[in-house]
Amino acid sequence: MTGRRMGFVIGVILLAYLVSLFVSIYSSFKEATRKSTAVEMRHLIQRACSGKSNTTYSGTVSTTMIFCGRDYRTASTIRHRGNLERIDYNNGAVMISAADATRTYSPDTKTVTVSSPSVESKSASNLDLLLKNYELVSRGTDRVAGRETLVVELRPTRPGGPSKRLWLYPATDTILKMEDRTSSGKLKSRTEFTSIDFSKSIPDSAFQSAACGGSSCATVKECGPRGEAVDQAVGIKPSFPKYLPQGYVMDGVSVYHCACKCGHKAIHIRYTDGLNSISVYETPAKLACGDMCKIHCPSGGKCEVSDADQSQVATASISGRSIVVVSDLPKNEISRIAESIK
Amino acid sequence: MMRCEEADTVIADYSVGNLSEKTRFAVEEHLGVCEECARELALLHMVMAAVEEHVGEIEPPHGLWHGVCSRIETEQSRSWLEKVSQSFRKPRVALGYAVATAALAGALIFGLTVKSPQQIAERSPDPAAMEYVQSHASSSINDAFADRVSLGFAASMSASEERSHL
Repeated sequence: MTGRRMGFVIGVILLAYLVSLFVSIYSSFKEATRKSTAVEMRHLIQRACSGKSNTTYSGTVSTTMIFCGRDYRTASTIRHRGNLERIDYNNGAVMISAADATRTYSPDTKTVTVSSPSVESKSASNLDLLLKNYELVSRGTDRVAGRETLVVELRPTRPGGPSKRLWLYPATDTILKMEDRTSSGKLKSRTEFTSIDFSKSIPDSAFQSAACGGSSCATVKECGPRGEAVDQAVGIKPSFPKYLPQGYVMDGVSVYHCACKCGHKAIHIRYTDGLNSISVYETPAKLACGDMCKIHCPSGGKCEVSDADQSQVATASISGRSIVVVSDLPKNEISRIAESIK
Repeated sequence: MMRCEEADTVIADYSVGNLSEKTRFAVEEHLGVCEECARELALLHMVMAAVEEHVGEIEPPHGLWHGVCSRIETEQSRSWLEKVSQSFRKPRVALGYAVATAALAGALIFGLTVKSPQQIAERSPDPAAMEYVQSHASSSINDAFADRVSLGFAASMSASEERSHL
């Protein structure tokens, strides 16, 4: 081999070495940046979740939501102090949330709907679940209500689930805007502050029961007894699905009181992956109120799946009980859950 | 030898003596052997004679040429969409489009009414099941990052909807 040729070969080897060195340094730098951004976003989300209990603010909020296939927009005012929150809607409805329950007052129907959090539901463990099942993706910065926010997307790690975007104000760890999208990517709801004030103090009286247009309200409880009492209340023992999609854990078992006014009840088994949830309702096939609340289920253990207000509903009749499964999941997944209940 | 299609494009110019000598000879040579094109020329002469007899000399209006010219320029700069819509004015094209649209509509209706085996298992939700859908949505109100404002609004909306149905 001549000296000239030898020099050429050494040059090529040296160049290849330099290129690979550059690529590996660049990749490690990129990976390190990605990891530090992910850790930073994780801390931000954790602070936003716990920060809700430490801040006081009041402001106006604009909401866009898709309900029964229609596009609705509403404005409301929010007053938030620690674990307490009051939302006054422009249609006269009021929602007051406390640690024990959320109460929605409807002056139109003169009712107050009480929704209690599940016994097993703990926000810290739910947050861990959320961070396990959802990837945090940075979407840059944006201004909301005159404040600079960091935009974070919660994207499911497995395909087929809904997603969420949060606009976080790091100075107070407050969520100034949020956007929910269905598993098919369609907008479900968007809520954003149009103005917010962190300096005003809010009196206790703001979080006391709201009247229903000057008269007393009839109370409707969304969640009834739990645990052992569920069997007695509904008359059947809960049957749990043998199949659940990966990442879901049980959130609670409670009694659901049908809004049909005939007093029939259902067992409500709820599963969550931190953001999305699956509800399984079980009722005895023979109801005291006849056909009014009867779900027309196909027999033979097979289920029917239908679209309903950005969710999928699977109905089945299994072992003398009617089963309804509701979730924003692909049709094959939801029917598989329903058919796994024996 | 000139063919009928070529002769057809220049026969009107030939009838008024508006062709080069070379093309005129080619047309005449073709007319000598093609009865159909000769008949076409005779027809043209008859039409021209009738026009001259009944209409006489008409002076073109002032600015006619500029008007025609600008219309030609506009025609060239028209968008494809306008050209498509213009083509609908031609009976044969319009008929073609109508047949194609009817075929498409038929296929759509057929596709919607005849369900595949997989679709047969699907149906619109049971009204009783919708109660559970609403309950499912409300049950997330206490979740970590739930949009409580929209969920509360949905709850108040559904309460009003229920009332309107009673």
